[in-house]
Amino acid sequence: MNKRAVVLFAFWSFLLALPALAQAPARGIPRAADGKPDFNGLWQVLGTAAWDLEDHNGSLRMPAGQGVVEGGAIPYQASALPKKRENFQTRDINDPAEAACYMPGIPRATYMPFPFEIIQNPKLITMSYEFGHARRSIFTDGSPHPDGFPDFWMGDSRGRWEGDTLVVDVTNLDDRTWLDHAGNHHSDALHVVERYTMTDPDHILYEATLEDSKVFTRPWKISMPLYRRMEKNVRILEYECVQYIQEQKYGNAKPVGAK
Amino acid sequence: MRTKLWVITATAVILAMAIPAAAHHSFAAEFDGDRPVTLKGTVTKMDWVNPHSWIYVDVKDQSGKVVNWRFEMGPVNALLRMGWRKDSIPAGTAVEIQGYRAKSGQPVANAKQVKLPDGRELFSGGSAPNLP
Amino acid sequence: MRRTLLHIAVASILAAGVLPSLHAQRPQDQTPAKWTPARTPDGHPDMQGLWARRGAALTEANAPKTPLSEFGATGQPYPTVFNTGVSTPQAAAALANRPAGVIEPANRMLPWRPEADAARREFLSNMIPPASLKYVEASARCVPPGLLGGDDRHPYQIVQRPGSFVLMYEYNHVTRVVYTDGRPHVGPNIRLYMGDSIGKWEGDTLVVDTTNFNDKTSFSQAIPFHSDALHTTERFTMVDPYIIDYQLTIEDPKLFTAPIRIAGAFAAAAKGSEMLEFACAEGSQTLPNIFGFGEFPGQ
Repeated sequence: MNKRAVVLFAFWSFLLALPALAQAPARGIPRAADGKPDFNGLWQVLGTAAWDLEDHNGSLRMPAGQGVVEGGAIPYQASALPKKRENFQTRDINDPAEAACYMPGIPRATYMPFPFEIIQNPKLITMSYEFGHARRSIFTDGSPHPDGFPDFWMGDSRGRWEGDTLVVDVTNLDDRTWLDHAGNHHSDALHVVERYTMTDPDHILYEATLEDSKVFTRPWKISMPLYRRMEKNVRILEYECVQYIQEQKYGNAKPVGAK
Repeated sequence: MRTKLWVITATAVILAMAIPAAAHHSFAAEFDGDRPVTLKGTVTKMDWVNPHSWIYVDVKDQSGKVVNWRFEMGPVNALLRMGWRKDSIPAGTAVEIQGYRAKSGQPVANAKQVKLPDGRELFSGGSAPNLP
Repeated sequence: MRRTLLHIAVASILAAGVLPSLHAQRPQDQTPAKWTPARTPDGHPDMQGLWARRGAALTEANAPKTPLSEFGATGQPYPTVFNTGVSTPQAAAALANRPAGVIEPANRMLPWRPEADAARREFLSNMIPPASLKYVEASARCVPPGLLGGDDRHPYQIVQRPGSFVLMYEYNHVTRVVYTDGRPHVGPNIRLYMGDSIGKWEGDTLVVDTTNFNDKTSFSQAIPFHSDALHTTERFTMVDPYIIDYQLTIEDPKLFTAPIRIAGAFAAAAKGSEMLEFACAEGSQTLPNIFGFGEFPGQ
């Protein structure tokens, strides 16, 4: 072929390839077959939000931590503060997650000190939490929250993409979950909007905005990194605290009317 | 606006292929298959929980005293898939419930069927055996 | 040069236009191709979606009468079939003609070790009323169901990714991640209710090898326990868009003298069905009712 043909060929090849080049990831994050960021894998939070979302000092078996609440304090309505105090004082017997192994709800399930696995395909993203094998489905097929459903411990989650950020809208959250072990609480009006943004292949920035007109004076936001669990052949194991707690409570008990 | 309820027809029975009986839990540990009850009353509330939802009904006994009965129904997902919604049976609805009494003697029973004022019957999705 | 390019362009356009119509003109008496599944990007049959499992039960001829089975099947039609069961009349018909339950041994006389059979009968006699916590039926204690103790009136969700096949149970929200990336099983001292599953594709069949079970799950009302020597092999083969053939082989040398094979199927759920949350312990009154104390919070 002559030189002009080569130039022409290169010119057309470049033009035709332009659209693909425009979509190429700038930061090298893994991508799924549909082009979206691929969150598949095990993730875990390293901070102390599970104990207390706000600034807290160390105490026996609880590390100190800087809070994850933007602005510092959770903006409670004055009428909601007594319940927060009462929860804190009775947390060792009343925390539904720690004392009863009930599913932690959203956002608390994200920052429990246990890994969780993101299982992703184009229509459904599932988060499988090692704590009590809790799980939730995030429907990314464009469907709305269903009408007239009761509340769920892990809520009802509907997701969509804004560029490379997964935005998850969570409603129907049971009001019996706590936001952390310090007794931060909410009502059945809680609405959470989460944002997951991969900042590099092994870190996701997790942000969650909480609004609850019965408990807080305004929406407020938390954020923290999620760290990819890098170990070879890492997998979710089992933390079956329902069984552990039952054994503790009833292991030596006699049923009513037993011989 | 009250959500319309679905009523299960005989064709659904045909579709219920061999589901292992193994799956259900201790009806026999808690309820007495030899003590069926049919009670009429007014709904006070409904608890949507697994593995069994509960419907609470104020029932007047022979002396006229009102006792709040608790009836065990099927799991949340069974009720949702049958078409029940949160507003399906609001507090204040008059119902007639057939079921089996708890062994404990408490005003608790396992509900088989809930009949509404207009005569429609709702399967509770629960675990009790066939009524005669 | 320009003429050459023009020729190539015209030839390409013509070829693109003509080839499809050549295909359409193939004689009509050609036999239809055998159904083949759509494939995931890594080339395996795409079994993803929501399914109802049918037939996969440890059906035992001459099972002992148990206090639990006294009341037999639940009688009422369980509504999951509406939205999560059979999706078409063809699938319903297929299920009716499929083998279900124990197929080996063919007579369903399970090959019990005598001492294991005696132990389970002894166990069953302590269940109503339960002599202690461990005799309360496993599902009433929200024990993760293992492979057979689950309630198949709730659907299953399959998700496939390169390197794993995920089977999610709606029942008790357990999730089995079957690794197909060549990794080994976890070490022998790690014991799991749901076992540790490694999968391999044999052609279009996924073969799942599961070990590392603990001994805390139940098989059925009549077989309320198994040992930690349990080892299972499952085979998933999609036979058409509505049915995944499911075969399960159970080996538990402490209970049985030979393997047992079970047949079942996953039937496609109706379009638009979704997996729902099944919270178990959170709403359960069973243990407080049985023991007379312990409702949460407060006790």
